[in-house]
Amino acid sequence: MNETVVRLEKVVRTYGQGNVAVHALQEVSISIQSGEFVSIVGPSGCGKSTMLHLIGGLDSPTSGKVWVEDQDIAQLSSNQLSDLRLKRIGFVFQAFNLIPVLSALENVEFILQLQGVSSNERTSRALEVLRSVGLEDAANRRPGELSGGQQQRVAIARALVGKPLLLIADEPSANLDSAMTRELCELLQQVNRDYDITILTATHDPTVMSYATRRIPLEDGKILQDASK
Amino acid sequence: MLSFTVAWRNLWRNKRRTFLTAGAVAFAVLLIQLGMSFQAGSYEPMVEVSTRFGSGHLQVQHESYKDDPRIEHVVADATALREVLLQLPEVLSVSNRTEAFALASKGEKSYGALVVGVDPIVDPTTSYVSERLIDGRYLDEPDSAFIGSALARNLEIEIGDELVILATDVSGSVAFMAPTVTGIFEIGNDALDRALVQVPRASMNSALALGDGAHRVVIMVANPMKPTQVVPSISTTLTEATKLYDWHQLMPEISQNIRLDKISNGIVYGTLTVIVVLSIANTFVMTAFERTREFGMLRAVGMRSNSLFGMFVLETLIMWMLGVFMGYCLSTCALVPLAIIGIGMDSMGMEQFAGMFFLPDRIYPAVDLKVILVAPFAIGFGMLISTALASIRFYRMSLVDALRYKE
Amino acid sequence: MSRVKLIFSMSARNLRRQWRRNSILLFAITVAIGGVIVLNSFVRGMQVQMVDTVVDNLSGHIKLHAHGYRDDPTVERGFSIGTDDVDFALKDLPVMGWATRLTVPSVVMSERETRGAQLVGIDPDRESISFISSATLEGTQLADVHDSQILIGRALLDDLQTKLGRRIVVITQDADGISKEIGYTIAGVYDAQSESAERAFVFTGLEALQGLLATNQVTELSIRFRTRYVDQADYTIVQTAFSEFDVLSWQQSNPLVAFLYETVDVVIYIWLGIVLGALVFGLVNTLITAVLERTQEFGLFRAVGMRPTVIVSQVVLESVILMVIGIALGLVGSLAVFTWLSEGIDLSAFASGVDMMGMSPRINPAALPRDISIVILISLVLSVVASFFPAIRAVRMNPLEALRD
Repeated sequence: MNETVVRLEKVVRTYGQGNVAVHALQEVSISIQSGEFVSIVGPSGCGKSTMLHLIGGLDSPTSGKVWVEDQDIAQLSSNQLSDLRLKRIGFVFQAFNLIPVLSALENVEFILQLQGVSSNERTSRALEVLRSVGLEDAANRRPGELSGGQQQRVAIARALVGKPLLLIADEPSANLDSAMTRELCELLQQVNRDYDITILTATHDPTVMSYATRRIPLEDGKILQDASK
Repeated sequence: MLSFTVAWRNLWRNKRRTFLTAGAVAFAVLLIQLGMSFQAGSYEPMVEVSTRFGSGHLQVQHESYKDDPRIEHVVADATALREVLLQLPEVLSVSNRTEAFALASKGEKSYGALVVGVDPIVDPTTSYVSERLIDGRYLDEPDSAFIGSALARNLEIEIGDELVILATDVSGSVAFMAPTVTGIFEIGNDALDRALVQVPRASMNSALALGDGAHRVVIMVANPMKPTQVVPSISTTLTEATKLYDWHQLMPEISQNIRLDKISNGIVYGTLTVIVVLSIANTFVMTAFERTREFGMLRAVGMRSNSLFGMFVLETLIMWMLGVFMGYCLSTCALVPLAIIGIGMDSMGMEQFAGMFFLPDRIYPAVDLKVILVAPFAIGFGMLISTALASIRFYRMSLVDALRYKE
Repeated sequence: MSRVKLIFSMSARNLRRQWRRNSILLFAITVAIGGVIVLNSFVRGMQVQMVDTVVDNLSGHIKLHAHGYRDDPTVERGFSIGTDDVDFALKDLPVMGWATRLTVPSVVMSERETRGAQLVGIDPDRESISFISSATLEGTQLADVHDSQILIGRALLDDLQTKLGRRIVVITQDADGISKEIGYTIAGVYDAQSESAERAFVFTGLEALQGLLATNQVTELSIRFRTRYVDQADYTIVQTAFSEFDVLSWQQSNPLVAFLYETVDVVIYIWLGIVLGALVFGLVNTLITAVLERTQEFGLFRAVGMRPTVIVSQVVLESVILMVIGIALGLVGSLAVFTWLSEGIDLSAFASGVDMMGMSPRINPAALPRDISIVILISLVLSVVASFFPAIRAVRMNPLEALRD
């Protein structure tokens, strides 16, 4: 239960140079343990997304180190990073970001296909995950025919189906109303408990924060105090 | 495969663009294919007609005759050579010809003429001249002459009249022949109609003291477009002091016109392909930009850049296939009726030059593998390069920027 | 005025915003326009050259024969005409010159070989209208109409296996239809543009030939104009003045060249159609996309009260600007190609084939202002049409809907 999933050591991320340089993260060091439900909180522009991008290997730090499961991700090639995201990390985006031309089921299956799972197993596993997020009836609808909440649940299903270690959700409730947000949070909590998946969200939504087991407040690229339980 | 599904459905998401792109491919495929099939269809009949009024597919000559056409430069024992040549499987027919520039006269009128001695039984298998008979009959007796219509008119000579031919024989003295005109032909080519006279080779050879010599041993083969194929086997039969030529060497103007036509059409097709490919390349670049965020997302959920590129290539290939298919359908619709009825020279206002240029009366499109494949593959190649250039973006883009990209 | 300026600057900025796709489109336009101009100029060049060669080769622009000469080209079908009469008939026309000739079919024999050729009696002083006065000559030119020596073409000389200064015998018929053998000394050997011309004609003095053939007539009168092309009206004037003759334009005396000449016009327009047709696909695709992705922007403009006509003109203007730049680049490109090929295209590798078509082995481009204007005009019309319809579609959209999109 106490393995370290993510560790940041003195991570600095600066965009631009000279006078116009923006210091998105300034010497941030944290570690996240397996099974945690972490919420990085703070106003927009505080560096939340940058931190998630760095952990997800979408971006690389200006200085400092990021480890995911004892792996310094700066050492990984582009393809190895792709594989890391494919097999160990699930992403949920603010704008859902589903593949518009594929149905809910196909969107979920797509990840399994990338992982090289056989076609029979793909369909059954994807259906199972869709069922667990309560969308088995909408399996054959395309994103355009789904509500925002449903789309976000498809996105979560997609993130879960690859059996990741860590699920990263960047402002997952930004496009949802309060009822949908609560449903989403309950789903995330359930995922965290039942599948033993570490969850890392960035949000300024109090509802989301309230479900987290640990809150990391971020302001101007610095951690204020770690308000973990 | 879901990648295929994604590619396929993406194409249908933007139907207009897909069809415009495929339409551009179809347009180019159609035009190039029509052009090439008529080119291919016109060369062979043109070669066939011009060689059968002229040189034949190949010729054996005395090694000096071509550069120095003296009467004594003959292939000796031509009959024996003919027998040997006829044994070769590629050879369809062989005809020996003797020739001399001579003065042809009737009464007080005289004109210069090219007198050709032919074997009346054999020569029609290598030449169309006998088929262009307009009056009388073909050579059928030892002292007969078959002459061009313009020459007959100029000499005011008629069937049954005696034609006086004065030429120089092997020893340099004047040789005399006086055959009876049995037939008049009209080819449509001024030079031949005005100057060509055919007589039996036997009588001509005895008048000119040529023995069994021939200036030209004319050979017809099964595949006239590739005369060089048979050169090795024919060469083995050649006797001393003789040389083999193919029609490219004997009728350079035909060969050159075909090459010139191929080159100029090649430039036209090339320019057309470049414009179409550039138009398509633009579409790809626009597509790649519009879908930046989608591509960023696919990378973020773990798709490798190469797989993403593969998916984009797949879309290109589908559009290409669609365009080629449309182009093939259109060109088939156009070519099938044309292959049945052909295009008449008269419909192009060309009939008056058909004889002059040795053009067939009608040309039919000819479709071979080259015609079918050149345009699609040239365009497909251009499209793949465009796809690759548009995809440089996938490899270079910052994933964070891509995910934030506003269309 | 300020509104025009505003529209213009907005169009220009929008073009710059999508510089990448616009530069590819610009490249396509440049290739298309440049390709059309270059190819058509060379085809035109061939056409012009065919005319020049034909006119130079004794046809002149207009040729007169006695009736019946064309079917039976003998001395018997000759005619007499007074110099003053001809000058009077042609006095108001832009004529460079004219010449009478006595042309008879003949057989030319050397000690080795025999060939057929046209024996042409000329007045050397009048032949500035044909190639023979300017052809490269080995030996001496004919002195005057009384010169009884002979000029023969290089190719015929080679065929006859003889040399300058040697004697040849020419056999032809005189005015009474009787064969005559005339002995000549080769005074000069000329090089013409094509070997077929070198084989076709042997020249001697007009009056000398008339004396030998017992005639004082000529068989043809050739007229050359100062311009390359002859007005139909001028042709009619000549036709009326010489109504008792067969009056042949160069097209009538050279039907093949006339046919090829007309074919060129068709080829030029077909080629123009094909290239611009190919360009349409790229243009339409880009413009529709460019308009559709800005639907929201247009909605905003509409919402703040911009008139639809202004939006439409802005889009059309973008397309026109793009086309104008493309045309300019295409013109510069074709100019570069012309400079690079300033020596003309050398087709000497295809000499016999080209000769058969009546062309010379070196083709110089002829970029006619009219051809270029047509290319420019059609492409501009194309750019307007291709952008107008997408623009109309964009402004037809309800502003609110567009904003929400």
